[in-house]
Amino acid sequence: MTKQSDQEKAELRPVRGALSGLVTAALALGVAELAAGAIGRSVAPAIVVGGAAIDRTPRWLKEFAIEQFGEKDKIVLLSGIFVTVALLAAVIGVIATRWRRIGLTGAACLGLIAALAAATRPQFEPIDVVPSLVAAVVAVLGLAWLLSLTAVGHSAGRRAVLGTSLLALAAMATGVAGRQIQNLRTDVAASRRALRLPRPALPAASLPEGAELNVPGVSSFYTKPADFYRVDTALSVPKLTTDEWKLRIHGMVGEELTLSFDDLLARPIVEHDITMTCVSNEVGGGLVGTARWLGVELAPLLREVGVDAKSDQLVGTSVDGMTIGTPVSAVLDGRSALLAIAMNGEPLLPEHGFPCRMVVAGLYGYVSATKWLVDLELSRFDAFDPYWVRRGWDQQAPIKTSSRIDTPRPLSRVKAGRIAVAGVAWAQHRGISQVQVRVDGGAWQEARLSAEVNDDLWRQWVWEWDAPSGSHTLQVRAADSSGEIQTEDRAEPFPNGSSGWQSVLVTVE
Amino acid sequence: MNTSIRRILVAGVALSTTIGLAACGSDSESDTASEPMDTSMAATPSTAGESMDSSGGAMTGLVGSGCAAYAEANPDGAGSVEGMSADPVATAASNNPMLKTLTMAVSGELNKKVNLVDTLNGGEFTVFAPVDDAFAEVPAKTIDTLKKDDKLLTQILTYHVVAGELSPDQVAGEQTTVEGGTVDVTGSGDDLKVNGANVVCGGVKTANATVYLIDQVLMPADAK
Repeated sequence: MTKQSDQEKAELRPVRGALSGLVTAALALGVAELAAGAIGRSVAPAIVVGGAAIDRTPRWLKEFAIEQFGEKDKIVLLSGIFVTVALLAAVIGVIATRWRRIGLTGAACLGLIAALAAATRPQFEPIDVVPSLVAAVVAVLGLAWLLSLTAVGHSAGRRAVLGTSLLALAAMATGVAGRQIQNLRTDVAASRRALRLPRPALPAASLPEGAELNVPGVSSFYTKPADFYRVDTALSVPKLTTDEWKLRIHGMVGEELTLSFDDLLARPIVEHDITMTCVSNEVGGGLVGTARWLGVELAPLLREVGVDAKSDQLVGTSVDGMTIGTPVSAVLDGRSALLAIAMNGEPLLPEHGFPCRMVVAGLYGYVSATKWLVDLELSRFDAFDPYWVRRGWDQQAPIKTSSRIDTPRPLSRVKAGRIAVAGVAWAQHRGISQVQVRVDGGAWQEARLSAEVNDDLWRQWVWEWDAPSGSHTLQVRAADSSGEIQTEDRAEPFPNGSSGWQSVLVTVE
Repeated sequence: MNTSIRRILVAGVALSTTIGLAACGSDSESDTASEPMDTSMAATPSTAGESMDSSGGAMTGLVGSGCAAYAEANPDGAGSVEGMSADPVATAASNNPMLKTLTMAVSGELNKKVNLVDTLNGGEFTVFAPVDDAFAEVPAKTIDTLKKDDKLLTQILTYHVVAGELSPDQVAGEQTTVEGGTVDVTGSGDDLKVNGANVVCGGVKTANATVYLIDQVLMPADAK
């Protein structure tokens, strides 16, 4: 009987060892989730290892993965990590039944590897290694305890099962609780609600009389944040709280600088009205909008860190790895260039880059307006190609002088008589000086412009038309402050923005 | 021996449940980690919303016997059903290999006085788009007339456009075109007809308009 039992035990030893390893690993991960929840950062071991792996994955492999798995690529990666950990844990458990010390060292190593991974992440803070280190300690203690239960004694089997089940339950409980706490702590909506916007030391002037023409159908001067165009590559809106946010300014600088959100708020806060435009906007399109931006001037910050005279490109990186390159000269030439935290008096919406984005007047967004901004590197155009440049778009892209007819709408039917033809025109950082309209290719007519507020903003325009019945083609063109008229030459958005005179067919009854 | 195995199995089930939970719990948070998801979007910075919409649903809701063949001949790229959904309608049509003549007609290439590209891109419309084979049946003399008569060309082209986007289950019935005349859409499902022209493939979404490819050029009753 005893003999048989011993033999049985020897046969089952690898199975028990593997199971001990698995349960211990599960508990270690569960407790680490709890620790991550306690410190309020998304730095559970699997997350940091996954993130570090993606940081190091070659581009072709990333593209292959996205092609194969689409939006599920992250789930696939995390599942892969869990399976790998499970296999390693099982092997370590088996080894530990024979060579206890080696097994326990292996368990500790898994946690230490995760801690190392955490330390390499772009948003790293020293406290981020805590969950992984906790996991290492739990793994060692848990495994040692389970091994001691099975080591000796008559009812070893029963105790081992009880102990294993107990740890499995604890793993489940800590994992779920930790995950929930993290969800609460990394709640962007709550972070946004809690943000008290500082008063600007330099408020923007209120709009002068005549800045809005109040013609029905014309785009409102300020665009509502919810209506503001959104163009980005984020599959899901990145979640970043003010507590987690950090901005590192480095590269070709005298002294590297890292700012927390409180550091940012402690700087002089300014306010600027700026019209933004997307390079993908087609002639007559809607990817343009205006907001009152609240934030911190970028130029003084760059002067503080000391920009190397040879650096000509400022590369912004978002928390999800998007890169955007801006000419250093543009940021330093005195124009409005902001680290923005609010638009139209509200903290940025998550989809517009909460908690901090870049806004630079006069440049298309793809070369200036990094959202969820966490990293600014002073670099060179000949040293680094950001995301869109790698896809063939131009390195530098100032916004082209453009004009748009908002009313009457294309193919609409209007009553003969006096009709207000009206819209907007923009040439940021140069300003609009003139807008002209013509009907059916006839002579150009001068439109009346709204009062100019600053040269970073669009202007509204209106032209009163004595419309005869029939179908008619309206065309519009604008001139910037130098008097240069926008080009008639048609260009597609690729590779540096669309151009051409918009024409709209309407029917007058 | 049996009891031992059973105990191990019980513990194993408890364990796998734990790991399962951990994996499920993690994916909801995974986008917090810095992950360069920067390669999966279209090759142009088009609006995220539009591209996201198109990624799943572009192929659903299509009607017409020619849809499958079209999708097979144009599996990807700007001229595919999914690619067209990211561009405004005139741009989308220009990428469609079956709409070469229509594209010429609306972009000033047939008659330089008629350029409806901005107009068609600038609102929400339903467009009945005659395919190249349909234009091939129009007498050469008529085409020559259209090259000179910009009013007539405009009238014919706008007769193919209805204000507002009509999905396949909304399109049937008498529809007033932006030209002013009406078109009669009859039938249902894969057998839709527009004034007697067959819908080859309909319900194709572009960024601002819903397109029905048809096999005849429609003529307004008062066209002269």
